[in-house]
Amino acid sequence: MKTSAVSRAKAAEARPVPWARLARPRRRLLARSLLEVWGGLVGLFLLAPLVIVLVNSLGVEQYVIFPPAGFSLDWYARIPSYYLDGALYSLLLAAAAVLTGSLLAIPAAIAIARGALPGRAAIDALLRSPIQVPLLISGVAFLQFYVVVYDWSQLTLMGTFVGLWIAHTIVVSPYVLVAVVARLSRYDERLDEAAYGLGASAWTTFWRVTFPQLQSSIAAGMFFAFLMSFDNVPLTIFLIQSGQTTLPLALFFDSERDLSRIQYAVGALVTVISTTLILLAMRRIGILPSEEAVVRA
Amino acid sequence: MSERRWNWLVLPLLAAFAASFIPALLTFVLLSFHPSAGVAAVKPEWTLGNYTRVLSDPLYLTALGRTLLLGLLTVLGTLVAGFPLAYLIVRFPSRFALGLFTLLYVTSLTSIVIRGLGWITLLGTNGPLNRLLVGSGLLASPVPFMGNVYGTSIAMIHYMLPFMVLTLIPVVQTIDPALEEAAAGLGASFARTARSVIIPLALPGIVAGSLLVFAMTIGAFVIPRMIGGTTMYLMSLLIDQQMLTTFNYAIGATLSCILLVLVIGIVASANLVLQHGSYRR
Repeated sequence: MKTSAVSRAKAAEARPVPWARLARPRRRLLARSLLEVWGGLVGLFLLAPLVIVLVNSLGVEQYVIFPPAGFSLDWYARIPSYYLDGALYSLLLAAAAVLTGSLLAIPAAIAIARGALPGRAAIDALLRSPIQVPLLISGVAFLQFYVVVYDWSQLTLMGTFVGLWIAHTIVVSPYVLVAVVARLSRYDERLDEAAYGLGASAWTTFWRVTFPQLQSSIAAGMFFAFLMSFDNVPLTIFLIQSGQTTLPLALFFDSERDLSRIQYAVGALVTVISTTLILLAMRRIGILPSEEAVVRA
Repeated sequence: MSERRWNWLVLPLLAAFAASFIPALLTFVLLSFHPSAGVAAVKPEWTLGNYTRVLSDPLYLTALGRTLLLGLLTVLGTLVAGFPLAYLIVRFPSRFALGLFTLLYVTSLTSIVIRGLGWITLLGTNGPLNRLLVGSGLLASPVPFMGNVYGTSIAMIHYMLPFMVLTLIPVVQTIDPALEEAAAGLGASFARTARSVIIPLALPGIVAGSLLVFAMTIGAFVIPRMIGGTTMYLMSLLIDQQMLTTFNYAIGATLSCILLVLVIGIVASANLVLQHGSYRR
């Protein structure tokens, strides 16, 4: 009897399921369990240094050994004031850099995403380039540039707040740029067209329709830019004035010269505070890692 | 709605770049072609001597080799640790996997110096890692992890893992699960499916991600300095030494140029792989 494809398919449905298909759920379960175990190990790996910092900060001995024999909060009380000075300086610098970086980057992002720029791809690549250039090299570049500027014009930028500010602005602006460009590429133009159709000017449309939708991306970009500036070492190390320090720089140098539990105390404090703030911010602003974290510093 | 009306908005940032970043990069590139004139100065005449000196001196070549080795070790480590993690998060997105992802993200936002402090303790001769390895019988006696490329690569893997995983997640997402089902339906074990289906399809993304991590690793400064110390010769550490200790701006600029060319070359290759590979967003 001739069988058609349809009748053969119907017959197949009535037959018992072949072994390979039955085995799949079990194989998948084994694969999944193994992957989850691996994931757990990687999770421990991720937490390890931070847990060490926390535990070390509470140790009682002068010499930093792990695990500590006893526990004490002493070290937190003995944190020298220059850490606070450094933290405030870092905050000020980061806030200033993010402010100027955003003011420059947001319009540029609009121009790139919506404008008809000649050589758009090249300009986009140029404005994103500080992310690709290693921070150390940017530091070298800025320092040598400032020295040359000084030789020519007596204008001192190395070892000044302004010099640091300029360098940080350039280096963090791409994070805001990338976030806004990405958002604009997903933007629904019809909303703007509706506003125009209702008689709004370009300016009004921008402020009342476009900008509110950009806000969360701008916030996410600024957030990431702030972290990059605050935690920066390679760039700051070259350009900071000799009496001044930033928080990461103080930790960095002290860990080389005179490693003690005090640095761990500072580290634990900063980590707890920043992680709490980050988790709160993630909840409120809804920062998702996908876009900004794929680019790096 | 005119598009060109938005064009001028790019000018402020572009002007800022033209006034600072671009001349800064040009400065050190040009400086590398002048001989050093002592502290933080160069002579007016042009020369290729800096480059010939750096590229023929065994000290610099060793540093370059060690830098590339660090990159390689870090890439391998992040792939081995990160690819299964990316696969888990995409294919089995349970609360466990998503919690892992959040953990990855949140730890990546912690200060690199603070993480370095943790690694200094972890990698010490009497630190937890050595004690674990010796105690479990894997090693006869403690191995020095500090001050060399191996300990540095462990800390670098920790630093680079989020970037690798975040690059690999979209890659795994483009793999059609029906293909994996098909392989299993034909009798393939998971290992076989991974070997014959998953990895080949993910390969362009894996290569691109690896190149990017490699480029970031060879330019890294903080972790190599904290773990490797000033005695481990690495490109970034030598640059820092030339700029802030020896004040030989000419050699500092030369080393920076070489490093920058490497980084740009590798990143450009990664972009080429992304464009021409079968990996599509």
